[in-house]
Amino acid sequence: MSNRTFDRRTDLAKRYSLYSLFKQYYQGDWELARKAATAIQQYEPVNDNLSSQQDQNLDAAALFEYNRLFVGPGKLLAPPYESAYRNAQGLVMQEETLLVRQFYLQAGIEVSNKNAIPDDHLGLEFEFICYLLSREGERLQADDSSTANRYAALYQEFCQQHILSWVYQHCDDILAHGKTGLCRDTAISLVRFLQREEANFLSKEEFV
Amino acid sequence: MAYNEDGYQITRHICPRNCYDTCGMLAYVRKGRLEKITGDPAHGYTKGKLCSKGQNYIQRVYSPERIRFPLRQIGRGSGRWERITWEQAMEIICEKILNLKDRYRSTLPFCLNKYSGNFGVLHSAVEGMFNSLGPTTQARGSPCWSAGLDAQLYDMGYNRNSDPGEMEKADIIILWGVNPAWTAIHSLPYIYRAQEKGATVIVIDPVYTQTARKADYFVQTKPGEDGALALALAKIIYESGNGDQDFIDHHTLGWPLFKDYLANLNLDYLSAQCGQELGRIQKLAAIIGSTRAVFIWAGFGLQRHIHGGQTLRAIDALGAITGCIGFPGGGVHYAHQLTWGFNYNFLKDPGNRYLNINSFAQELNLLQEQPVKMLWVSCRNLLAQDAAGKMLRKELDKLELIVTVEQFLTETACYSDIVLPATTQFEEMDVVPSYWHHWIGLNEQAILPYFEAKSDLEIGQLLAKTLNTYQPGSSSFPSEKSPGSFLDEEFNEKLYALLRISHWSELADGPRQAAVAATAWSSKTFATPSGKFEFFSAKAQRESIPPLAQYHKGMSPPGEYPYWLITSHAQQGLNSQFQNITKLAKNKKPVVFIHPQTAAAKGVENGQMVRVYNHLGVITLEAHISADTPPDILVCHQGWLPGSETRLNDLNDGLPTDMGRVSTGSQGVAFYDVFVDFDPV
Repeated sequence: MSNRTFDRRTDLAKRYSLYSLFKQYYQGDWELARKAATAIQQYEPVNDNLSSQQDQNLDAAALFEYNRLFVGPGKLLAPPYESAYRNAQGLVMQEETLLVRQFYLQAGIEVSNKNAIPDDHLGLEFEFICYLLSREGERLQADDSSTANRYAALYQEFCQQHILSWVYQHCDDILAHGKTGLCRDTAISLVRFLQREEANFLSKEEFV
Repeated sequence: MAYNEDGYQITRHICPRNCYDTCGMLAYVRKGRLEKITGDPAHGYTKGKLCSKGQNYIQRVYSPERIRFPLRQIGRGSGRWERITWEQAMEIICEKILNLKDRYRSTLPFCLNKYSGNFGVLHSAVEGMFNSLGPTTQARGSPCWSAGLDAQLYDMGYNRNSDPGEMEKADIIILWGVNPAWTAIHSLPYIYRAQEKGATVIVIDPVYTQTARKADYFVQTKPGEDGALALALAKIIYESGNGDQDFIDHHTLGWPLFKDYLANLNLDYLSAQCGQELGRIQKLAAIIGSTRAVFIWAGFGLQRHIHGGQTLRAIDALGAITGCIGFPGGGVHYAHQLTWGFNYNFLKDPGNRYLNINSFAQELNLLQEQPVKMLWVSCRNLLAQDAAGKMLRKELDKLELIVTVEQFLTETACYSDIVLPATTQFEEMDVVPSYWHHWIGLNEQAILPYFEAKSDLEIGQLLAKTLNTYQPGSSSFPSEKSPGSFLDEEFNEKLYALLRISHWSELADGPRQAAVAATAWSSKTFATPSGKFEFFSAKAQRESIPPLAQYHKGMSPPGEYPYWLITSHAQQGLNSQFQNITKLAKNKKPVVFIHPQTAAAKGVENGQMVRVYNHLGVITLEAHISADTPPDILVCHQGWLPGSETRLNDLNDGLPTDMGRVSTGSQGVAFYDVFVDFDPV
């Protein structure tokens, strides 16, 4: 096993862990979201906000803010749905949602609670990425780099077609409306992480 | 449910809002997603067309603002919400119920306030769940139509109307205090066709409405004085020999007394009261008295005054004198209950304590014994819509738990401790009748409930089940029965015969029109005790209401508040519903329409903010200058704009109307007897 493959697997594991934390942050109940947010700061610390540690103790404030941003009731200040950003009318369960569903299907999976919860919820999109990364890891371990590369390409394609088309804007909304360190720091961490991912994307020619 | 060649699953629906039209709709679903909504061509009244609100239902179903999960608010009105599971929500509610039962040894501290947010038959499951707990406190009555319903019960014994298609047979159509161009658009084609055939359309309204623009004659009356106009017309028609003596002699009761009463009325006085020149009333009387095919559509607006019931009785009397009642293309039409003959198992009263829905806050405040401690709200937005809103908030502050079942974060939801997400009519099964046309139809489930939304029925079942695990025997509400089984028990042979079906599931093939006479009262046999049209109603007398239809002078602006505040229905909203759908919102701010002269006298320009006030409070509105409203009337379209602090009914005392107890259990509310002054901000 070459060092390069080993590094790729280590790197993959780290990225998987982060995506998994972001998935938990968006999908989980509050307890899980709070724990995920704290864990994210260990991987992807936001150093320029000294008050963040203190703020994170203000659990109640962060909880209510988290709900105002992502859960409701009422108008979501930073809706975690792709269609809310990309659909002209800002509705959920629109064409944009179906394109995401289509992408999942192409990779051979679908959302278990389909049609009740939109497929393009950020927590589900991150879960999908976790799936792609885990498959990539499995294939690498099995020395099947060609399939592993196929999963890596799918991941990149999904990010470029979906995640990157709206998540930065979503994070801007969090920063515009969020006041607590927990939600703000998590958004900043997510932006930095995605920017790094984006910077590492291969050009089309590199995928062979 | 059917499938078409494009791979759509097509389901049938009925719009369940509190609306004349109660439209048939088709939902087109592909891949589990509601893609489009059209009118149902099989519906004989709405004929495949929808109003702008109905066309935009997808906006409502898939609004990112819909409530998705059960939520608990930490501090009522604080906006500090936390997401909870259904199990947690039920635990909190059940613990409160059992705790209150323990403390008060009674179930009366539980209170239900529900009305017309969804008129589906299975939505009465909320009452069913409450009634299964024992005697509870429930808001009863209607903020909408009570006085008029009672008036027609006294006169004709039942709320019956003709098929709206009968308008096409009319020589004269009188649209009295009703604005179908905004609130019943599917009736307009009948009116237009009647006009094409030569019918004369007369609109009587204080406001120059969109409907008035389509009329041949527009009569701009003073608010609350329609009774004066009706009786003046009746007197002139009768005294000029244009009355239908045959109808009067054979089909009415109390004519001699009513005739004497008419004889003693002073036409100059009546014409001054309703703000018309006598010559104009005489001209109208000549038109109306020329035929029996006079279709009078009496709207809900004219009975939202303290003497609203008497006003409708006066209009009924006018109808009787012309002989239009029971005549093809004629009659006095208000609303009907012909297709509402369900079994109403949910409404079996275990000895409830009832509060008047229109003075809910005041009555809560009066409860000394077994005070209300927990409130359940469904199908209502009482904080936006009730009169005396400030008092209501004070009363709500005394409660230990407020639970609201909603689709959106309404004002009432904002002021609740627990909010439970409700399904739309595309996510649940139901049957919905209408109070205007005679069609009835099925709501099939088209899509899965949005996120964790549940129907009123499911929520009732879940609560009953949870309560019984805490304390067996707490609720007898059937927690495992399917919606279909509940419908089986709601239908009966009479209703099936009326719809000419043997099972409600046949409604999946299309809505059904009830087999009732197209012309109401065509047999001229009335449902009153005498079997006749009753100018004199002993039943009214027993209710301490004058037995004879008679004129009572309405209210007029007191010196310090010289303007009427009329809060009529909006075009793009229905009560407090729909205004939050962005696409429909015409005005982002609450608006008041002011006559140009009135605005000029106050130095108010179009678009300027004004303070509208009276002894109850102040609201701030954006002035829109319009000659459609008379100089002494300010018009605001009622509703709820999310984020707006303006509640029109904060300026409303909630005076009761004269009638309403018989049909709805409580008097109505004089929503339009409100007086204000205003200043530029």
